[in-house]
Amino acid sequence: MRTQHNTLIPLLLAGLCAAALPACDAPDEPDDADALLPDDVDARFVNINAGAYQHHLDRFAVRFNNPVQPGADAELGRGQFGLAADLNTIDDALALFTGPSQLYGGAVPSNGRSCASCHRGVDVNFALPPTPLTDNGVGLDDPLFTGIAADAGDDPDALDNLNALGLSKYRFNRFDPRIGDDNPFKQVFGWRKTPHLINIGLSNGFLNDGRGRVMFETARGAAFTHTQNTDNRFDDLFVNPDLSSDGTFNNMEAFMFETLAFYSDPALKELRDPGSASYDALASDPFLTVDLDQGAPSWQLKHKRLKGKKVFIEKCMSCHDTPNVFNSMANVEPLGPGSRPVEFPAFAPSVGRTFNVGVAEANALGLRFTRYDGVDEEGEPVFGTIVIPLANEDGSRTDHAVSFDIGLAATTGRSEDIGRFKSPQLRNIKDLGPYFHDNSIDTLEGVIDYFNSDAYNDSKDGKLRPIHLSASQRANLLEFLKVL
Amino acid sequence: MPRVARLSSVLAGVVVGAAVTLTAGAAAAKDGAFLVGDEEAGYLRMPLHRGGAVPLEFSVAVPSNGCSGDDEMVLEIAWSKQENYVHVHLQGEGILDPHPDFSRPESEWQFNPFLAETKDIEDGRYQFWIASAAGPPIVFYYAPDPEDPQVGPVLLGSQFDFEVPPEGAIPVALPTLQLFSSPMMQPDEDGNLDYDWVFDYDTAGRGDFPGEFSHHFVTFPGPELCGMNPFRLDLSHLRPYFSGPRPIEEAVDFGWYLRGGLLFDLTIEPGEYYDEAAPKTTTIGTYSGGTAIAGGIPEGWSMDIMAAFMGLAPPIKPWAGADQCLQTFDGFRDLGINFCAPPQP
Repeated sequence: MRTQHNTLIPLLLAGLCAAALPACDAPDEPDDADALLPDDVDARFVNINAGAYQHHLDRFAVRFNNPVQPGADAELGRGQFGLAADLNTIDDALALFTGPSQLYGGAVPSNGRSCASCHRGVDVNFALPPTPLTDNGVGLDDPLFTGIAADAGDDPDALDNLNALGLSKYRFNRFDPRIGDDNPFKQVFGWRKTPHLINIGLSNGFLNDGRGRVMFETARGAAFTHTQNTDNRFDDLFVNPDLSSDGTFNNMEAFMFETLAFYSDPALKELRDPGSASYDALASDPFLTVDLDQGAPSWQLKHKRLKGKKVFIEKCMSCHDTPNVFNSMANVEPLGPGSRPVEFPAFAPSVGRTFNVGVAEANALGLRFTRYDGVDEEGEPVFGTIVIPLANEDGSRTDHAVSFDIGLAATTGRSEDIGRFKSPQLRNIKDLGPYFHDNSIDTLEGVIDYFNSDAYNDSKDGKLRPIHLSASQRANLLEFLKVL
Repeated sequence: MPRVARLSSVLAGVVVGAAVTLTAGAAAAKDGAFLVGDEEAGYLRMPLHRGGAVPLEFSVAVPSNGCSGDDEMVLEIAWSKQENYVHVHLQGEGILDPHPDFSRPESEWQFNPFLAETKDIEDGRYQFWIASAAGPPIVFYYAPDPEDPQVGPVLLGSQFDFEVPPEGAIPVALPTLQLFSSPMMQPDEDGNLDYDWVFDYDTAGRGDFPGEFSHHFVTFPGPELCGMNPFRLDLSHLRPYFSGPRPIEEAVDFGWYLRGGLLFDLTIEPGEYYDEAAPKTTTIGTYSGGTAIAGGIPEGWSMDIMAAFMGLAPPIKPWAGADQCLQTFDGFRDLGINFCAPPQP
């Protein structure tokens, strides 16, 4: 049943016909609006704009609007990050965020963690070592373990999930000072991997779910893990000039964007600068820096890579569309028209395009998402279900009982964002496993098989972008991903 | 109705691409909110709801039909940078009172020198506002009140109120919303509105003063500096500040607003301007909404402006006036906290 509202849609469609379909005989000023409105036009709009990104501007140009701030010192930022000059050794001399609480009084102690506690250096692509961590150089006396209460309090699953799976407990709204500890938005959590920081300067949105719109926000959130679970003071540390020379973490941002960001391929740095000599070439040729001749392949292998590239273009690039980086170009516009300082991002949270590919619902590792309520009289742990009130698009409310990672919904408060995460960048993907936000798949083969499965194709975004690969397509795509 | 040129091939490409790659159906499209396109060209459709985007000290009016209009207020906007137009269309049936009267009880009214509106309105008219949620920071000046030295520094005004900073004043930068408005409008005698407003993409400005005024800045500074804390806005004493209209020479293009995320409100304005030389607005809203909040603002929910400004989640909250056809008021925010007091150990 058509409404009378869509008076502008026919005009839009007239433009479509005139510009893209020359044979389409559309009048410039249609008298009968509905006559130009195909029944399925609505599906086209809704399907590409449903949910929290439904008001999201599309992008047709590569643009990273998170510039390194003038005067920021990447070397000082490296020290604040907690890495020595070799980019592997942890050096926390400048990296422990402790100090006097300017707003609340007293001193905020450190739990010994620095950024490098989780982002361990270039040898592991600035993420955690392989699991179990204790077998790979992270002892139980490491601040990563001794400071675990910062993430997880007394949660009995936390130690095993961290050591065996490389997952930390994230309570996304832990530092919301407005709400009490009994508020479900404060209780809701996810078990999340430590993202690799390789190419971090080419991210469109940060963190697994993209809720970090600029590095300023992201670093602020990450630094929460430097204070213990019961200490809610944070923002006053953030502006402490003893800890950050100008109170904005700009130095650390410079370190991540200038030093870590392009470690895999320095040429990619030019993508951040539209004025650079290589920008146009990098932006217009998605595979300019992808070397299919890597390792002097046989002609058969080269042929597989070429065919795999075709599969990638057809099946993967509708989401992983950033040239040469292959995350999603659909980004947040947190700084508005570009003149807004990073410490004043626009209204939050307004995030970029995210996707529900079913991984959260599948919960392949069987992670627990109930609230730890301590122990009973017998000393047995007690868990309670977190019921979080989420808004539906029609205005109704769903009291969602959390049984898997609800993804972006914890940030937007909207049910359509349940299970949504950002599209990560894919350069060097063969070295960035295990994969997905929960480290649930170890190999690239496993990732391809997941996207070729019912679990993906029955997911919210899988239904919109179904993937059914033949055995040869699967094999060719794998060979291409190995050199991506 | 002015002729609206066709949208650019860029937008056409969006739709064609979507049609090719997407196959699943979705029935609710035309009744829901959506946006296609980018800064260059695009189309937005959004139902507006009572209470959707009401910041501090805003009242939400009640139509005399008892909220029993046959339809909702629907906003459509189409834009093309190349063809230099923005076309706004507002449509609703039986949802507005022509020439509305509006009265505020004493509990909803405190004179605000930085807004300068009147308490009540007779024989009013309507004006549609488009705001960017990412206006630039502007500087406010605070100084001790010589007549009341016991009180901390009080708000003197902003950079737009002083040609040079007041001597000895404390400057404080605050983020703003940047907004501009349509010409004044009226529904027909049955309360139906079918209104078109077309303006140049490259010069977004007040539709009621074309070629004269561009935009305003609005934000929520504390009247006293010791009563506000940038990390605890929820505990701060805040009041609306509305700058005077900026000259048309300062107008920016519509893309500026798009990139910042949009907020919309249809306000009730007096039948005559308070000050034609520097016309502002009232804090009396009717139907509102916005793209600045992820996914828009569903009916029955409201933007949580404290969460939005503080970067906290979620950015929406249930609206107290949902399912009620009552005049509502987002109250005065003054919890009496003195942030200048020595911190407690």
